[in-house]
Amino acid sequence: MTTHLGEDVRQPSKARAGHGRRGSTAWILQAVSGALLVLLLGVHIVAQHFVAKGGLRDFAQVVSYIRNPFVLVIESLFLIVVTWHAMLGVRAVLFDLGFSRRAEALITRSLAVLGVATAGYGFWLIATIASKG
Amino acid sequence: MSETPQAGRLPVAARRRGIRGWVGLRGRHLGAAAFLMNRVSGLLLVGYLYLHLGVLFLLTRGPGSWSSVVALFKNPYFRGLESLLILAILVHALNGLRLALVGSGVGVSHQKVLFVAAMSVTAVLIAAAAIAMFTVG
Repeated sequence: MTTHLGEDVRQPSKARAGHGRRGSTAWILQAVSGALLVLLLGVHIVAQHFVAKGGLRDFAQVVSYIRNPFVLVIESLFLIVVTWHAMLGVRAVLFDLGFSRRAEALITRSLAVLGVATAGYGFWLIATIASKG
Repeated sequence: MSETPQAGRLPVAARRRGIRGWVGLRGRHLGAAAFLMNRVSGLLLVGYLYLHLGVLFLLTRGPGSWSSVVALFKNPYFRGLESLLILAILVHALNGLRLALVGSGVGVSHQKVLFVAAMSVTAVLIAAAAIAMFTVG
């Protein structure tokens, strides 16, 4: 559906033959992860920068904060969702460049590997920081 | 072009034109600006994600390394950059929520109102965040 805004917002399920189903799944995952991010990023920013005295936590405060089990779960979830959303977003931008289907498949696999590596590094960071206490 | 483009993706003709297709085919519509804003803010935020993960590595090196970077973060110029980061987050989040709603069939006929509302909320929140950042500590 193209609207008076001139922006196409159709869910891609009825779009390009052969790409429709995958595109639709990616669109739904992007929208759901985006909505989750609004909540998780909101918690992350407020807890890290607006609740902490002076706007920033010192080393001991960061370690104490990350060792809280509730925070650990929220931050881990945030890491997964933000990485997922970022990789899907980069994929959509790269697909805009008009690559062949083979190249698109390679992009998808490469971004999956990058996403796993990013999340893995993030979890290593969380575990290492939590172990400092 | 009979082919129907996808949500958040460009029509095939525009994709063939690469990044120029982000603005070219959509002309001077408000939607072109919204699309471009989401793409540009999204790419900036991906770059920031890796910068942020890199900076957090300093926490693994102990209190000394973290203290030096915290001192840098308290610099007013750095707080200005952080305000721009929050602006990018707000633009991307609120415009993205609008896209998700409209793409799900909610408020399709009120897209323009939703866009203006999203950007108005962005303006209020960035003003509040900037005031909080520059008056704390």
